[in-house]
Amino acid sequence: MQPILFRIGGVPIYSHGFFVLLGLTAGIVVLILEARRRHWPKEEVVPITLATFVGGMIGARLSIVFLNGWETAPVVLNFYNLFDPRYGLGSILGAVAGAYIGGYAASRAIGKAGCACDAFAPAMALAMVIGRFGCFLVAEDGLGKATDLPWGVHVPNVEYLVHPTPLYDAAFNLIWFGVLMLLRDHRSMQNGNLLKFGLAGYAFFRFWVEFLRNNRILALGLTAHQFVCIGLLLALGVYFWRQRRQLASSGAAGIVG
Amino acid sequence: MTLMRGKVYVSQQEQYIDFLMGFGGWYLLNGLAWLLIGFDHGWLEGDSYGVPNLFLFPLNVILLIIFLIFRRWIGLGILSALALNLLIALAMNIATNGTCAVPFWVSPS
Repeated sequence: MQPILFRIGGVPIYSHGFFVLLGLTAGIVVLILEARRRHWPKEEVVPITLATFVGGMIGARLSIVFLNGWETAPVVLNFYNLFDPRYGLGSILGAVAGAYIGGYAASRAIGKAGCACDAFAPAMALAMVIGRFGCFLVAEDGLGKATDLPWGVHVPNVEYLVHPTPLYDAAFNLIWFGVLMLLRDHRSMQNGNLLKFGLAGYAFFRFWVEFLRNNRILALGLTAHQFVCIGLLLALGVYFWRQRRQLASSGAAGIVG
Repeated sequence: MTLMRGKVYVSQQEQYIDFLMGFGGWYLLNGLAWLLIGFDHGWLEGDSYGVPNLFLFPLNVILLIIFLIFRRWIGLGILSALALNLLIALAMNIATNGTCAVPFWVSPS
């Protein structure tokens, strides 16, 4: 583990913050390139991106109350703590939800017709690839449960090897980034479908990797994160099922007509 | 569904003025509120927060949404101020090691 990446003039540069910022920067670069490719006007890109960023940051923090328990509420609900760099950002699942809500609200508020949010799908995946290296290097949450697999790693103050779950996350997101880039022009992956598909993929992966992480069990042997993943998968499943049914009925109407 | 659009801006100057009102107003009002109710809270002393502080979070979010709908450029100013503050916090986070779980992670027993 390497919590301090390097020093500049004696000031420690911590791995977690460094990789989060690097991941965010990479995500924004991908977003800008995608937005340009999709001819998305900057009058829409800027407010939606800002709202997505702010929504993501707020969502990451607020979700902690649900994911980690009500005892965190006094710290989480203190508005000024949101800007205190000594506090953690919160949960990536909350960030994704907050970013989605923020982006959606902003696009509706500025009266945008249709959805250009698909540009966010690969950007988010790439940002998570990079950001997870920071989680790994600081051994966040003790990384994972005990394992005797050859790629198990040591963490401080623990005598056994553990699953390097942030690296699993990074590996999945790297593959997922490639998949989303390949699918980005597919005709069934437009108007918000690519983003929803991307979220569904991550929720599916996250549900399973949670069994290897050290998060608190909420009920039925599942963590709060897993309940969020199940809820998200159900909602997205209903969305895609309804869309498929609509397409099928409009196709049938077209044939009859 | 597209929500009702608010004020129609006829000049760029109007947009700039509204933007600055939102951006500067956010810092001014939140700065004042911080001086009045948030100033005395130290690191990890969130459990001593006052009731007014509890309302600042939703109040900020609600005002942001209202302005984005009805006075878009004021809303953009607020959004930019929030984003700038969060970016500064993220940049400073490099030197403070506030990892995602600090201080929220509860070790499972």
